[in-house]
Amino acid sequence: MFYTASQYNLFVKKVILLWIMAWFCCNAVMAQDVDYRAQSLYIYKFSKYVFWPEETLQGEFKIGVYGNSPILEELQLMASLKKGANDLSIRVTEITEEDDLTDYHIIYIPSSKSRQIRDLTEKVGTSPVLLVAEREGLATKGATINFLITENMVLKFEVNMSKMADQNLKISPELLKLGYEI
Amino acid sequence: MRSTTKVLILIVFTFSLSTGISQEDTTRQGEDFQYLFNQKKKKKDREPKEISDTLSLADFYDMSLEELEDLKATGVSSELEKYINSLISVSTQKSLPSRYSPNIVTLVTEEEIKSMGARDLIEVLQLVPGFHFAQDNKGNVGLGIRGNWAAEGKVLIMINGKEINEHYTAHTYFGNHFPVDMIKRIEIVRGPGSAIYGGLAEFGVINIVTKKPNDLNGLEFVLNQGQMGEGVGRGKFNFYVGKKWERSDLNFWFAAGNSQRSNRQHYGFYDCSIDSIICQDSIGVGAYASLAGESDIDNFMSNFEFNSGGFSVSSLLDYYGVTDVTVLDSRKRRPVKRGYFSSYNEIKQRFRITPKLTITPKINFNIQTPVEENTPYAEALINHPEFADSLAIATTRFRARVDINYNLNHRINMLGGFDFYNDFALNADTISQFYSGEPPDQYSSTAFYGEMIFKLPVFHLFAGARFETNAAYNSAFSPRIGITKKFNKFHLKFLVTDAYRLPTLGNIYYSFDGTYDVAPDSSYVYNVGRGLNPEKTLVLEAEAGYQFSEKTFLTLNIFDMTIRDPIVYTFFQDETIRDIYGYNSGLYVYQNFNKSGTRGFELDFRFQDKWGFLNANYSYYSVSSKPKISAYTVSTFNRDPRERELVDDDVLLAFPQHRLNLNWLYYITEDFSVNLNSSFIGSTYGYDISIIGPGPWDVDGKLIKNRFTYLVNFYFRYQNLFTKGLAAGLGVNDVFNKGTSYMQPYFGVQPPLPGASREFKFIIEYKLPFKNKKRNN
Repeated sequence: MFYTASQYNLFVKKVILLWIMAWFCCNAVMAQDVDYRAQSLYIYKFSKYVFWPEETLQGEFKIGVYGNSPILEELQLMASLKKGANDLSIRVTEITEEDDLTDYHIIYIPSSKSRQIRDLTEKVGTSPVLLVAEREGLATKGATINFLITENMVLKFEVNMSKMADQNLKISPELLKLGYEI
Repeated sequence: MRSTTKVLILIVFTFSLSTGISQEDTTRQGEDFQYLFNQKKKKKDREPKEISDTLSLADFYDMSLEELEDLKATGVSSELEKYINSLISVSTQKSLPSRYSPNIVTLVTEEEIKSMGARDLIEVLQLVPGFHFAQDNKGNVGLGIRGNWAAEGKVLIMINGKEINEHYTAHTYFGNHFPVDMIKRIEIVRGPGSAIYGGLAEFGVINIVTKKPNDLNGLEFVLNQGQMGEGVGRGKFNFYVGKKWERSDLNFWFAAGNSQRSNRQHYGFYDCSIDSIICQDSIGVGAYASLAGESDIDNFMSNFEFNSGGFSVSSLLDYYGVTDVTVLDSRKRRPVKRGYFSSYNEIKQRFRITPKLTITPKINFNIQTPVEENTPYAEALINHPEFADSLAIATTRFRARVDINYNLNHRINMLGGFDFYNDFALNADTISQFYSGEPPDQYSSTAFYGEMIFKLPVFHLFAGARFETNAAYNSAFSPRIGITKKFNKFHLKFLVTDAYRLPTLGNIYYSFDGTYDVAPDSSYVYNVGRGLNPEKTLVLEAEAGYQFSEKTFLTLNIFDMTIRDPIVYTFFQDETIRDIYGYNSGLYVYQNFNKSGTRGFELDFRFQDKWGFLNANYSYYSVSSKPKISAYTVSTFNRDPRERELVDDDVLLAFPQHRLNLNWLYYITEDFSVNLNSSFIGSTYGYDISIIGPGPWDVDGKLIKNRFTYLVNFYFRYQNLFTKGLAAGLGVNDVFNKGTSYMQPYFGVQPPLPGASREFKFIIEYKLPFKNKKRNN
């Protein structure tokens, strides 16, 4: 099989393109491979080390997941084992359009729903709801807490302290030591 | 064309690299559920909701904030980080990362065991820092830890949390005994565990965790074969079946097979009691004869376990028969075999009273009976079945234990409980040779234990104790204080424990307080005084560990052990006994000696990556500045302890002062691996026989020194061979045929026991997972 010069160039370009695609594909797979059990562990700790107004801690401790995310299953597993703030039973549900967002104590916003952070922030208003996101920069766009991945792949979080105060929530200094204030 | 070919190769390489990486991750992850910082699994693969009994998901969520500092975000913890952050519960009964646990711990994974093609648990444990095997009487092999003989009930051996030390004397012997092919992991405490586990955990704890349906919901078959130069080395067949339902699971496995201790020459004593010709014709003391085909070790072990919610019922059967290679018949054969059959049964229920309080009562009932072949006792049983009731020997143990776990808050955990057991020995006195009078045939022991775990911001503090009381001896108390601290990559541990070892029924029966009466006609001794106190050991330990990189980890620990009132199985003889029973006669008895102990350090280096790992550890102990007892010291041979001359005051019998172990695994491809492991063993001392005349009792002993030696083993393993789930491996043990021997760690007239020589091994494994039922919706 012989190639002309132009065919050969085209072939080489295709190969390079494929190589680049494979590289990105490989890296993308790894990047998407988030450990939701680690995040759910942190969310459990948020339920213990973030303080909600006493009057909101009645009945159940509600965690909502906005949209479809593998963390839902992890959080449900956690809820079957542990209790939330004030020893309330934890209930984890996927948020539907009809839900009143202010009923929740924690709302988790998967990266696929990041674009809707502004809508969610408006719906929640100043109600004591902890908005937890997982995409870089969302803590400055309305999320109360945003997960970060450091260079050495350690899971950390950033806390929007003014947002925390606006929503009448307090965070324990011990927990805050693990994250970053913005 | 050349360029085109290069480009094509580049494409293939690139894709194989990318798919290779992801495949490798997935494959290796399957074995890593227990790792704290790596829970990556695809949704469809996420079956194990319930972690095995010692690794609770609830404990995962109980981690302190300090422990979250290094929590990995993406499930791409390095292989090493998975290892060093793995949860271990054997130390406190509460799952803790090994760097926080209040003990010096080692975790042996299934990957390590499988990849080295282990024939036997000895091969696995001899790579643990500070561990070395030695010879006990009648051709048995036991474990020593940090230079101290531990086989006499000073190391607690458990299978899935069930204690399996023999009841009567608490010995546990190794060599074709434990089913290595069924093991998921081994949690090892290389130090005392008495504060939690009591009287048999004085020097160490080994918890063997076997496969569960969470690990394999299906079937597994393993055939493990070995061939020494002369004759078959071993043959063992293992079968496992595990089935998992939504809230319950069941598993059953058995391992059965035979092995040879060695194929080398070994000295045996002619025994008149097993061959009447020897009684009639004087043919000397003994002779050297080959152990090939004459050193059988038979084992059958099975386990059944059913779990449903917090309820669990299990039963483990163990038959272990070892050829007594120390005795010969007139044809230089070794017909005597001794061992025991044991049944260990347990019912357990975990009650979750509140989210903070868990109470776990459990009841155990064990029965053990000795099994003998071609001994006078066995002959009596065969020839006089009408006396079977009075001849049958059995020991039973009934145990009731309640463990309470209360998490006061995220910083304070409280563990505690009580432990009661009753030991009963039926007709055990029939094996007596010297003693008269009424031996104790049963006793009960009651213990209370408690431990507080404070996860303070500055460090973790562990404070606990166990108090045990028994009518047959003085009560015992074991306090423990530990401080552990982790700063980023560095961790420190400071541990102080006063551990104890309680006398067992057999120890008390064969105890000797130095007093006896002599019959008026001086033909025998009687009223041999009995009495033993609990042995106690003060252990000071410190460990420093540093993770140099994602792949490299180094720990160094130092220890100092001082044993008070050590219980020693020893040969006692004096002039009176010589006059009555003969020059070589004496009593093998248990006695409390004064003080003993060792101090030293262990260095453990691990380099672990996706291609495999390289582990190296070095152990050192010294007794130069510690008190010594005559039974263990390296001295000239003399039956009278006062006449022995110390030859080396820095080491003890049988245990090398220096030992270096290396274990290297390399995945040539994702499925094809090679393992090379080796041990470099410093000089060891022991006694050998010295023939001083032609008569049947003309034997003496002499001190010998085995110079530095080494063992090199390698093993190739291919997984997913022809079909998924099928694995096969080939390897050689003791490549250079150095032929190590087991020395006797206490004074006695036993020549070194040869270990296996070069052996070619072949292992074939097949796993067949059950298919998941398809859901209709």
